[in-house]
Amino acid sequence: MPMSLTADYDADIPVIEAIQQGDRDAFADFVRAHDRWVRGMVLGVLGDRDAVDDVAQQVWAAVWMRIGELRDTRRWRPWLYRLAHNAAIDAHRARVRRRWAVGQAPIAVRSEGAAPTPPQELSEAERRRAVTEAIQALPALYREPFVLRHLLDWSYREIAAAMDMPVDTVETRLVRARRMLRETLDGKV
Amino acid sequence: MASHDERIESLMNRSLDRDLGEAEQLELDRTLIRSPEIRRAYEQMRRIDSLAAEALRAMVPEDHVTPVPNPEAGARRSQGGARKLWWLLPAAAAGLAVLLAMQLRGRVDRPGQEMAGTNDNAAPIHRLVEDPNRPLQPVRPGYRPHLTDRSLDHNWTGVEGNDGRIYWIETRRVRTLERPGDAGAVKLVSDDL
Repeated sequence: MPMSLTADYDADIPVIEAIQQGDRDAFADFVRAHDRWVRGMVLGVLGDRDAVDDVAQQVWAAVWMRIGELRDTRRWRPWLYRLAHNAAIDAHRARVRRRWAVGQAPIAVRSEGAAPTPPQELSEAERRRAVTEAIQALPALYREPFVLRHLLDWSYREIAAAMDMPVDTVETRLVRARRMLRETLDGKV
Repeated sequence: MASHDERIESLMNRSLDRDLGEAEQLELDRTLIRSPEIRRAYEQMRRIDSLAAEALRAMVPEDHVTPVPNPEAGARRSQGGARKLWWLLPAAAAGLAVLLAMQLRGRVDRPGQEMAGTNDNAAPIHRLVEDPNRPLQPVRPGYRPHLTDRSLDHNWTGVEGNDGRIYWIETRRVRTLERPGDAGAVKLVSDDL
C-alpha cells in the first residue's frame, strides 16, 4: 500500500506518541502497518532475502527501545528509514566479513565484467531467476530506490521523503538502475 | 542504448513510473510511433519492470509480517537523560573496585607503605592531627616530602535501579597528606579515588 505524505503521513504521529508512552498494542499495530516497506528497504540494501527476517526483527526491537529518542515525531519515517538502513548496512558488512574470513567471494559483486551470456530462449522460471540475480547485482545505491519503487509502488516523492534526498536524485538513480538491468538482461528477457 | 538521448530515456522511465504530465506523455508517444528502436527498448523496459516487481514480491511476500518483538525479552527502552546512567552503575562500581584493587596492590608491594584495610598485619597508618596553627599551603615545585600521611575511608552506598533491584556501589576514599620537611606545612596531594 503506497504511503501518502499528507494526511496518512500525519495519522501515524499519535501512534508514535502512544508507543513512546509504552503502548504495546500501538507498537504491534505499527509493526504490522509498516513492516513491508521496512523489509523492502532492508532487501534493497542487502540484495537478497536471506537475512531480511533477522534484520527486520532487529529493526523493530531497536524501534521499541529507541523511540524515546525521536524528538520530532513528524519525522518518524526518515528516522525509521535511517534505523533500518543502518541495521541493513551493518548486517551486510558482517556478512562480507564472515565471507572473507572463510575465503568465499564477497556478496553482491556486480556482474558487470562477466562474460556476456549468449542470447537464448529462457523459460519463465529462468527469466525470473535472471531478473532476481540482476537486481541483486545492482549497486545498493541504485537497488534501494528501485526496490521501493517496484515492490511498494512508491512515487518519486515518497521515496525522496523516506530516503531524505531530492526527487531528482531518486529519478536519476532509477534511470541508472533500469539502464544497468537492461544491459545485464539484454537478450535474456 | 547509445542512440537514445537522455531526454527520451528520462521520459520512458517517468512514463513507467506514472510520473509524466500530459504534454510529456504525448511527446513520448510520438517518439515511440516514429522510432521502432525506441519502441523496442521501451517494451523491454516494461518487461523488465514487470518481472522485477514479480521477483521482488516473491522475495518479500505481502502476507509475511515480522513477529512483533517481545518488549519483555529485549533490552530496556532508552528514555534519554539521567535514566541512562542507571545502567552504568554496576559497571562503574566494578570498574571502581578494579581500579582501587590495582592501586592498593601497587602500594602494598612497596615496602613500608602498607595501608590499613588491605593487609591485617600492616602497620597502622599515620593520621594527621589538624593543627589550626599550620594551615594548608601551596608547596613549591620539586619539594621532597618529609612525611606522608594516608588514610582510607571505605563506604558502601545502596541505590535503587529502575528495575527495582538494589545496586551497591563501593567507594574508597584515599586521602594523602604530605608534610614538607622545611616549612611544616602540609599539602593535600590526592583526595577521592
